[in-house]
Amino acid sequence: MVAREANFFVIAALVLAGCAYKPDSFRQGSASFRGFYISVDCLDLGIDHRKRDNRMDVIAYEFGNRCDKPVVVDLAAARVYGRTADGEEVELYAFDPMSEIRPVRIDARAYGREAIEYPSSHTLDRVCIDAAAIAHVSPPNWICFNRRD
Amino acid sequence: MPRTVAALTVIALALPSHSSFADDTFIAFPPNVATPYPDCAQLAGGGVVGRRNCPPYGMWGAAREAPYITVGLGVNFRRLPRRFAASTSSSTSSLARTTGAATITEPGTDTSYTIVESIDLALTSFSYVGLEIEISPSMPEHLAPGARTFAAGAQAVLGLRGGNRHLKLGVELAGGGRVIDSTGNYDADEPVLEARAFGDLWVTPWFTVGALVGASVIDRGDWVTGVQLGFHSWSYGGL
Repeated sequence: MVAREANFFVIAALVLAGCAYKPDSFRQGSASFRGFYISVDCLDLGIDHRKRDNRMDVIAYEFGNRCDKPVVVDLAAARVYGRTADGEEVELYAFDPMSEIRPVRIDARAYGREAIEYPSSHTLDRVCIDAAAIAHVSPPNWICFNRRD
Repeated sequence: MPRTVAALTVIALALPSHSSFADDTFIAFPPNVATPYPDCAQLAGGGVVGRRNCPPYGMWGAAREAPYITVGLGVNFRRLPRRFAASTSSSTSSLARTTGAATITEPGTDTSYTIVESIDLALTSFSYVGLEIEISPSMPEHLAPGARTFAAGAQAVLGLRGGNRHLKLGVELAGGGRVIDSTGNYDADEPVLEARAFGDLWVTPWFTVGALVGASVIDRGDWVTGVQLGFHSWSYGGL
């Protein structure tokens, strides 16, 4: 019986050990982050762009806390701009009908992901996100996606 | 054996069912497959905020929005001093020294090993309260005269702790009651008031292994040592 209990403890330890985010790994467990990789302060970010239709862009954020302290992930603060075919820049706002998006502290060495939709009244050729704003860091660090990609 | 089953049942019920702190927001789980969020097996809107039914935004930060909780599992080795029931006659035992007290203590101890399950709730960064259930999975077949072995117990705990991302140290006071197997005719239900010190090593951000040592403050010669595993809801205990 003691041997079975010991096995249980070892398995539990291995499971928990596998849950921690490893800095610079850009992985959630066995799955790699999707999209463009960038490190901003304590956050390792994977930012991906999903096309919905001509007037709707979905940005998928995956993030891991590379530090041994909790940090804020503020997707509400992410500045997102679109550029139309004729060069006009349009600020985009998250689709958030229930006002869910807010700054949330993520635990040390934890990871998470969200997908946020940015509707627009224009047809956009390019969408850019300031990744630094997510971690409340300056200067801005722009990541851009062409809608043709 | 029934005690072992009871102890394992308590442990199984107290273990967190989902230890991960990240969410699984836009994984398209196949139908009828168990997921961390059973009601979210069919995520609406590709898991996009505002179009999905669940989980709510920011589940990956839920651990830090809830109080810091630690679930502990451990094995203790308890050394209990022998006692003899008081008697008007001194002929009951050659070891017994009858006095006016209800019991007396003789040299010699008996060791019991126990399985302990605990849950702690942080009050501040350095203090916590908790509950413990402790049970001995073995029952002695023969007890020497005056011998006492631990059967089961429950304690409330008040403690202080601190440390860094490598080591956590703490002291705590546990009070409650316990049941003792013995050959004497004294009351086998005993109060407990125990002072302890412990040290834990962080193996992962949410998991520690450690050791403790303690002694009863009301029963001289009553000692405990133990090893413990800790499962923490905040990484590194909220450093």
